[in-house]
Parts: sequence; C-alpha cells; structure tokens
Amino acid sequence: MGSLLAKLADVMQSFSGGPPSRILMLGLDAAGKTTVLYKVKLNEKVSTIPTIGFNVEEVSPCKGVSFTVWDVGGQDKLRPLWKVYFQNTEGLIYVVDSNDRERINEARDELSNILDDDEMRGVPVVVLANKQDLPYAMNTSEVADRMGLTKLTDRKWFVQGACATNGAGLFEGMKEMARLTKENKKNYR
Amino acid sequence: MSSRAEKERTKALQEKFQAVLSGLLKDEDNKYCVDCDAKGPRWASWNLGIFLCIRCAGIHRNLGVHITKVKSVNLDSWTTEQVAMMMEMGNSRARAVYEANVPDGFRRPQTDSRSLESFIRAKYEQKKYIAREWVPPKPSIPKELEMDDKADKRKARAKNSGIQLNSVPKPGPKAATGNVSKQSSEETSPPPKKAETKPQPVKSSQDLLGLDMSPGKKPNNQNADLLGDFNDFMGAPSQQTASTVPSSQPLQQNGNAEPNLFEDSNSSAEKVPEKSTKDSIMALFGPTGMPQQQQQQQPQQFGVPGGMYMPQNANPAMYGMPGAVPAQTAGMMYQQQPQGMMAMPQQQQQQPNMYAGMMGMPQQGNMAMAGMPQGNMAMYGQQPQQMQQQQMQFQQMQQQMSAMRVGGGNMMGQPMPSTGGLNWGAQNSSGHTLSTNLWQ
Repeated sequence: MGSLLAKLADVMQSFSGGPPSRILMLGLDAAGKTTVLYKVKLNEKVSTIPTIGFNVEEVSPCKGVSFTVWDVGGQDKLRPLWKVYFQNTEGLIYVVDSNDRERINEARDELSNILDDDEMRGVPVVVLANKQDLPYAMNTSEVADRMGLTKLTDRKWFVQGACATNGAGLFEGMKEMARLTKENKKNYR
Repeated sequence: MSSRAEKERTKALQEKFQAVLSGLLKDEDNKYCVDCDAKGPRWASWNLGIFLCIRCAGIHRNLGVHITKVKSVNLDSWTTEQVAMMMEMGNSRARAVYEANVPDGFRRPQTDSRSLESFIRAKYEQKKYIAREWVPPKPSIPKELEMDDKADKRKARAKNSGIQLNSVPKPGPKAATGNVSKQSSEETSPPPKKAETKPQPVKSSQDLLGLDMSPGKKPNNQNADLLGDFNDFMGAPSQQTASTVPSSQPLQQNGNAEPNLFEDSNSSAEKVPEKSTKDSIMALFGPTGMPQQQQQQQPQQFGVPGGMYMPQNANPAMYGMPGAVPAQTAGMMYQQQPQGMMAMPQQQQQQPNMYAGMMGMPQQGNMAMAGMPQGNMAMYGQQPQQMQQQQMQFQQMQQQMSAMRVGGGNMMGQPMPSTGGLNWGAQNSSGHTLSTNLWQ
C-alpha cells in the first residue's frame, strides 16, 4: 500500500514536475555552454559574449522535466569558482568543444577535477560533444574516449554529440540528463 | 617542495606575462579593438595575435578554434608561445595583413552585431582581404619571456644599476607604434582613413614579409629578428619619437649585444632612428613597465592593472572542501549587482531570465572591491551554523575576491567608456530575456 502511494506520488510528481532539478553546466571557455543554455531556453541562436560570472535559467526541455541550469564561465581563472556551485547539484552537463583537439586533455583534467570533489559524488554527468558541425570535430566516441569517460565507473554518464547553434543533440542530451537525475534520486531514497 | 618551487615559478611566469600583455595593451597600437575599434580591448586571439573587445571575442569564438583561438588577457593563463605571438603581431600589423585588400571606401562596422560578424568572418574565415604574400609568423620566444635563473639574475643586475635591460625584445610590438600612430589616429575617424589605408598596409605588409623570412635564415638570433623588424618599422615615415638624450647612453653601454644585432640585421639603418627608438622604448617602458613589475612582486593585494591573477588550479586545499554554498557567493555578488538581490540565494525564488555577473562589475572598479570584505563578514554573521568553516570559507572568499580583482584590475588599467564597461557579464540581447543595458 505504502509503495503504491509512493509510486502514485512519483507519477504525480512527474506530471506536475515538482521542484526543478538543479543542473550545473560546466566546461572549458568557448565550449558553448551559454549558447546551449539559450538554445534550450529560447530555441534561438543568440550571439553570446564570453561569460564573466554565470547565467542561470529555468528550462523545460521536454514535458514533465524542469531544470534550473547554472552556466558558469569557463575561463582559466574562473574555474576555481566552479566548486561553489557544486552543492546540491543533481546533474552535471559538461560541454566540450569537439573541434578543439589541442585542449581536449585540458577538458578531461578539468572534468576529473570536478568529479573528484566530494560534493559531486555520484552525480550523473552528460557530456555534450558540442560543435559537431565544425570541420575538425572529433566524433562522439572519440570524445568519450579522450575524455576518459570509458574509465568512469563511480557514476552514470552519457555522451551526446551536439551542435548548439542549430540545436542538434541538445534535447537528446537533456532528456538523458532528466532520466539520469531521476534514477539517481530514486537510488538515494 | 619541488612542486612548490614549480608553483612559484609558474606564478612568477604568469605575472611576467601579465605585465608584458598589459604593456602591449598600453601601445597606441592596441588601444582599440582590431575589428570594431571599441576602446580598451581586454581579449585576444592569440593565434592571430590581435586584441579584441569582449563582443568581438564572442564573435570570434563562433568561428572555431581552427581559425581563431580566443583568450582573455586577464582571466586566462598564458603560455610563452602565446605571449610571443601577441608581441610579434599586435593590432596594426594584423590589420596590415588581414585588411590589406579592403576595398576603397569600406566602412568598418562598429555597432551592428550582424554586420560585424560577417565582416569578421570575411576577414578571418574567408580571408577576403588578406595580404597575398602573407605567411603566418612563427615567433621565436623573446628572451624576456624566458624564465630561468639567468634571466632573473640579469634582471636583478639591471635593476641594481638602475637600467632595465630586459626591455630588449619589446621593440617587436613597440616597433609597430611608429607605424601605427599615424594609422590609428585615422582609424578613430573612419572616413578620412580610407584614402590612406591603401598605401599603408601594402607597404608594411612587405616589411612584415621580409621579416618573416628571417627566422629561417637565422634561427637562433631572436633579437636580430625583432630589431630588424624594428628597423623596418622605423623606416616608416611616421614615427613619433620621445625625448632624446637621457636614457640612450647607459643602455647602449650595458646592452652591448644589441647595437651589433642592430647593425647586422639592417646595415642601412641610420643612427638617428636607432637612438630615438630606444629612447621611445625607454620613455614608454621606463616609467610604466618597470614600476609595475616591481609592484607585482609584492603580495597580490593590489589590483595592479592586469597584474592580478590566481594560481591556475587554485589552492589544493580548496578542492574537496564541502560547505561552500552558492548562496554565499551570490550574496557577495550582490554587493555589486543589487538588481538581482533576491533571486540567487534560494533556488525556489529564482526569477527566470536573470543573469548576474560574478566578477566585479567594471564600472565600480576600486570601490566595489573595497566594499567586498565587509560584505563577507556580514555574510558569516547571518549564517552562524557555519562558523566552524569560517576560516576555510574566508580563504575561499578571498580567492574569489582576488578573482574579482582580476575583473576590476582590468578596468583600472584603462578607464573604459561606459559602453565597454557595460559589456561585462552581459549577454548580447537578441532575446527579450536578457538584460537591457547592453550595447548602447
């Protein structure tokens, strides 16, 4: 009976949405975080400038899913500030510039720095392999490989090829994020 | 122990780079955005060697890193190669190259973002206006950027004798000044410029190209390069030279290597310009460059323009430290940005479409920073349950504050007009959600 009620509550929550999940969006500078955010929010290609500080938006990429997405600037000297956003984060979207082969290792190291943090333990991560439209873009599996995701065992992860300027892959990524956060929540209960 | 020494080293190196870059930004050459002429650029594309305003930086980032690699002068850490490239190129040289074939009567877009983007794409992606003979330079690392003990000692000696020796490679970027002073005075007022742009770029691009051969011929002789470069530029009719006598004499005695190189690299170089260039270097760098470097060796407390930076990965102690609540940062931010006051600390109250800048809003410069520490204290007062973490958090705050100083320090370097200042943290508003005070 109790479990039935809980299930019912679950279902109700999935319809009403419940409180939005807190999603953190990080990645190196110029990975495309802000563009992703506003593409999802407005379905519009905004012209962005480098983010000094952060943007935060409530988005609902698909039915019954609502996220509060924090998009934090990725310049080298802003990265130490990322950790102040960690607490209570339910999901991490890590945006990678797939076209930037020179800095893929840097991106990997920053990601592993994030995931090593106590606050981020078990938090699922969706890696957006962004800028797939550019000529030298690594494909999704190469990104997964070079980002060290294949060795990532302590959490759920998902990698999604994307192009933030035309929106390709964003909703797939968001949907997956929703699924993973929900799953993660259940496990904690 | 060794890792600590290593850290010190990288720190010192970064400080040095910052000093060099802010030196470059003081050049007439680099006082305006290379693409849109906005005042006081603080961003750069290091592979192209140009300084940009934040808006053009945003556009450049759309092109992809295979074309242009954007970096913040103050918010990123730099490598030797990157700084060397900036020294090698600079805005006027880059204009000479990438705008060599701009049609007569071309009007540089300045306000409209869309036409600015198409101009930037035409310029760097399609390379529509590029000088035909252009071969991208492979800058040799100037001696100044090397960071070894020898260099340090040399520097120390130079300081003791009251002469700054390590300004040797600076001619590279400096050199362009003479050339530019003419150009840039025209650039600020676009229409009259048109008449002149034609001959000017062609000429200097030839110079540049002649120059580019030299690294191949004399791979080890960096200074010769730079100075050759220098002479070429000094050959340009329009140099503005500073006062004559005072500093040239000691410099020639001490830096006995340089005059030789000078003569080697360009036998026809006249004595007069040579002397005057050194003077102008000294004039520019003596008073400004040197004190700045000295100041930076003191604790980071002071927002020397461009001199602030944070260690790359922060304090290791910071990582893995729980209890850092965004609310606190947010609260702190609102010291500077009152318009968002309520939105951040509690997630439930978020107003959609809000954005906030975390770094010191540039308009407030020093004031904002001075206000900060009290802000922190008040914060702690309100959250007694976290007292035991206070020490740690305070450290963290300080760290953030020093990051903010990076932002603020920026502005102090060169007071920006309010148009530039407003750009910070702002989102170009093509959507109604975004803040309104953007690009007027």
